Amino acid sequence: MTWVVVGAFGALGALARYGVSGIAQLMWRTTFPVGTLVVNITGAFAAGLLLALVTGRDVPDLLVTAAGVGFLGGYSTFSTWMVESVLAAESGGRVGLRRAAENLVVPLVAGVGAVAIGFAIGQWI
Amino acid sequence: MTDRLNLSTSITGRRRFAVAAGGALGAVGRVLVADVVGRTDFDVLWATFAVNIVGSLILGYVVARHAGRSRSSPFLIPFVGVGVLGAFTTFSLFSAEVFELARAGDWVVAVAYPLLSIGAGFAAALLGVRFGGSK
Repeated sequence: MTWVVVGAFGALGALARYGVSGIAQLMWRTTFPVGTLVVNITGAFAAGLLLALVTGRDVPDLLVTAAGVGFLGGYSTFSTWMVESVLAAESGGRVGLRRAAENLVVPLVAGVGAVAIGFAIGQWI
Repeated sequence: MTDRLNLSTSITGRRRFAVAAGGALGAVGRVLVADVVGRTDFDVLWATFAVNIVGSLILGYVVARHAGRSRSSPFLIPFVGVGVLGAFTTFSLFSAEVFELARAGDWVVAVAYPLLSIGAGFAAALLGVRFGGSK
């Protein structure tokens, strides 16, 4: 049962990511992989919110797994973040290395920050 | 003209299907790994670490391989990259874990875990790109 639910929500999350990152990349025409950044930051925010909302509440495990592991897991991505950083570094010279460093540090800091903000809002609700 | 439009919408539709099918497979794969690691003495943290590093390696390989070929399927990246590996690896859980470690006051792991993940993830992706790019 868990597998079916995780699979279904993983599919939905992946579809949402495909749409959101595509739109974000079209909106900001930049070499920075902003599509991946947008899905990862919004996904981290949602994870923080979810964490606060389920803490101390009697929420069914399956619901948490569906939303957290399935949907948010399918929505956010670590592998694309890494490969885009490598491609930035390989694009050449010091500019490439600077881009790679930016692309590693900015999402990390913003991601943990987004979890914290989501968590704070979740506790406040 | 209408035919071409119809064709393009049907291709986007099929791409979406590839993303969704891959996403389902990747998400189930991650649960499977977390399940196996959960039965050992290892922390679940390292299940996330493992899927993220392995996923980065494979994606690096696939992307470089895909880029090197003129006749590569237009569904490869949506299916494997966005779908399977996108869902297999996770940024939201990774960030939430770092936040939880910091909140618990476990500062050594809270600093070491993201640094190790990024260092190993970048190295794995680089390795994958080099392998995939070599003829």
